Amino acid sequence: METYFIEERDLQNLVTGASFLGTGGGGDPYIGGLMLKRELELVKKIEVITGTKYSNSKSFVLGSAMMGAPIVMIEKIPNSSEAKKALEVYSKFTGNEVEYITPLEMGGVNSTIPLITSAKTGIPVIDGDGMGRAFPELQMTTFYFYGVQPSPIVIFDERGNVSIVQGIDGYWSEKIARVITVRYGGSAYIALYGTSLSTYLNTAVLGTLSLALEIGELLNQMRLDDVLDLLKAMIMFKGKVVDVQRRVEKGFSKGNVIIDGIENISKQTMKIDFQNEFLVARINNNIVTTVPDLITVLDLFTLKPITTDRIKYGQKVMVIGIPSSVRLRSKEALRYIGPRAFGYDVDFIPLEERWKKVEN
Amino acid sequence: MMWISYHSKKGGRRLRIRIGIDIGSTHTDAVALEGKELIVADKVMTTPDLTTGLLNAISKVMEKLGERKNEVDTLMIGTTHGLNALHQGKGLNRVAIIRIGLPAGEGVPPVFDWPEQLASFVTYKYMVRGGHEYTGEEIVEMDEDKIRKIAEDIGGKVDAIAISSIFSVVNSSHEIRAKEILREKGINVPIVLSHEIGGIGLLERENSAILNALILKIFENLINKIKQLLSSLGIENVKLFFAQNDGTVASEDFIKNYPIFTVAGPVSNSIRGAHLLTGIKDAIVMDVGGTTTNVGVLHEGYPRESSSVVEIAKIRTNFRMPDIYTMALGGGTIVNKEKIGPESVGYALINKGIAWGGDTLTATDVAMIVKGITIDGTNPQLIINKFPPEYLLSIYTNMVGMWEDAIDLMKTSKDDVTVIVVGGGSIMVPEKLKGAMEVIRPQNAQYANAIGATLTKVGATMERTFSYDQITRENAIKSLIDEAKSLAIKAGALHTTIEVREIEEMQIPYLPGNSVKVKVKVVGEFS
Repeated sequence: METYFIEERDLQNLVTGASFLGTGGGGDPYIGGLMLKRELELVKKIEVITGTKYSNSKSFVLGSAMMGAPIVMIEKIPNSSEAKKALEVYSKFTGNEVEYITPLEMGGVNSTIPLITSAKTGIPVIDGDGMGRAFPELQMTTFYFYGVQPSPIVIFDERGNVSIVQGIDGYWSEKIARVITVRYGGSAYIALYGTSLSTYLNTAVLGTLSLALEIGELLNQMRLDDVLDLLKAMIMFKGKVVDVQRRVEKGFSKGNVIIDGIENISKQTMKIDFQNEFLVARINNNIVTTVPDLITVLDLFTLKPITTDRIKYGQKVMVIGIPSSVRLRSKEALRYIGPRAFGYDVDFIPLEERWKKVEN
Repeated sequence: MMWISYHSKKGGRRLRIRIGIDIGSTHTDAVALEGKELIVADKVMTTPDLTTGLLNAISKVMEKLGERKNEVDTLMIGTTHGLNALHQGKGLNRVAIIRIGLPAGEGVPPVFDWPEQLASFVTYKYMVRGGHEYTGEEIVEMDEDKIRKIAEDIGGKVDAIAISSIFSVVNSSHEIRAKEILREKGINVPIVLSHEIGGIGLLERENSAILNALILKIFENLINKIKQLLSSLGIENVKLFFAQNDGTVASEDFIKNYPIFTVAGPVSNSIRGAHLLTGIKDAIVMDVGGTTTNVGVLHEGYPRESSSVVEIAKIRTNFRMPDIYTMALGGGTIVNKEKIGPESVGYALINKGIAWGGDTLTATDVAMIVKGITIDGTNPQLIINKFPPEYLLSIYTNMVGMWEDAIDLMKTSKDDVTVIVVGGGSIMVPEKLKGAMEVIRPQNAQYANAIGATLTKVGATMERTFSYDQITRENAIKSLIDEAKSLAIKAGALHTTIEVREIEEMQIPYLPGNSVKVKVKVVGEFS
């Protein structure tokens, strides 16, 4: 496998790129970024394994993440070694020696936690994740859609409490893990989705960590065209936010944003629905993009990604549509993360096909 | 309707006089009001140390009041003393920070991401076991022995101490207990508790508490100097108040302990001043000064607060700061070919402006011709001799475009809004602006800041999180109002006049138990 290293100078690019792929959600990466900065001051660099060649397909890969409420994390800041300890307990419990660490999602704080775990353990991070973006629940990963169970899940807190959840499926694992997380005080650090490297490579969305870094670097240099080329993405809309509706429903932050077009599309209106992440975009009431394809909103001038909780009236924005990984678009995947899984009575149509229709 | 005027009141009953002072970047404005009537207004140059200019302004207004100076009852000051000291890193306290939260919190230690210069004043940093969950339960018991050891460690070596603890906005008992222990151990320097300073977000609240501790001495000195001046002028029994970030004021005793609440006082004052001069409660306020235009939002009579992270001297805080958009367009802004600003001649306008016989085309010169404004001591012909009218018109059109864009940025909906323009440069703003229902320039607009400081109320804001499954909504809000009221009384409000201005509830996603963040703001008359 090929290797590269993440160093302190990559931090800003990582945060920007992960926010871009976070599609408006994934939580504030600020604390995660600071924690990672501190680790990098100590270890200087973190090893990332990338590429498609691998030495031992039986090598064991384990996911590392934070679970819970972002608002708890900004108050009860981790001590930084919880995720490492969760990994150690996992190893002991299952007898597997962990050789690679994988992120579960790209976006917000969970793009930095696996790197912190790596800095603490010396185990390299693998260049990929289970979402290729951010989603709100544990079972919403490609690992799960293609047959890997999240269980056993080791759930660890800063005091040292350990729970091990063995759910019968992803749904129950999520449900039980969330109750435990709440009992811990609203945030926990988890080790889960342990599997062999060969299975991992067949189920993960690969290359996303280096992709986030590349996107971040290009965006920070204001090279949006190169980002669009890289992702086969497109600018769907440019305009001004003229209305934002928000509510909390069943624990999720839901709402929508209305954007009036500018320049040559001044008579058009875009509406984007969100539930933590941006889910469905419409132009003049016609759907143009849905989950799992990515909808990212950027500040028109600075090209900085805007999160769903920070978007507000008056912002001039650019809405980008990004085709999701093929692994998010299969029938198995769409059952869990297609528009119907989020309550929309429509089929998923890839955005490149929808736009072909728009253009014809 | 203008209710501030130079005419004397009918009936002749004399009210006590209030003095309001606003320290701007170029001028320090001072006004004296009898009731709501402006009786004296003056301005002096702002000095680099701010204090000299402030004392000059007080002397000058007292002099103008003559014998009536003995009727002065209160003195209100809007100042950026705190902000300046932090920016310059001068005259600050040596501070110790104690964070209570281990085993959590270690991932980002106190002062971790601070600029080096300011961090160097935080000479002792500790992390101690303790802190609470969002439910108010203990994470672990607090390590009291460690606090006792810290007291021995730092006794006599620091000027102030800041204490933060995890979720102290839900349960403040560990912060309070830690302070008690330090006092028991004979520590007698000021101790700042984070829950008294900021809202949710440990790093931001802790940073705010430390910043407050850093500038305590600056305000103590400032207050002493003002008192010495007043007593040298033979004036006694004047109550001293300072403008706070949220558009209210607080007494010297309060600000002595919480000076950080004053850092955005001056910008808030102009928004409050716009309200007090017009009686309008909801509008966009444009304060056009010498170098910049500050655009803010007047909401229910007070500045709308910013929802984004507020940085002070490059340090993240969670202060309740007014939502202000600042752009480099003021009376002294330099016009060079098609370029407007960002450079400004500032207070040198009266030497450098073309209309004053100078050599630099300024925004004021442009506006004078296009709007046909007359200003004492100027000759508009000098401008016409040098620049063609169509050029001046095109520049002015661009200036108007900048103001219109700023209004659009600060609006919360598509509808047109009322725009109030204040500040020395407000004469440049046209009577009609796109997006504005009407453009109002009140009488005495140039003194809006100082008047805002003089006439506003004493206020206090509290923010806590609650679980409505554990406490009823009614009781939660009531307890918070009580807390805010007692804070307002500490800040100098008369308890019988305190009213609730604002209650804001925000549900917290991902947390069960019906978790809600509640913010309450109360205001009252001076006691």
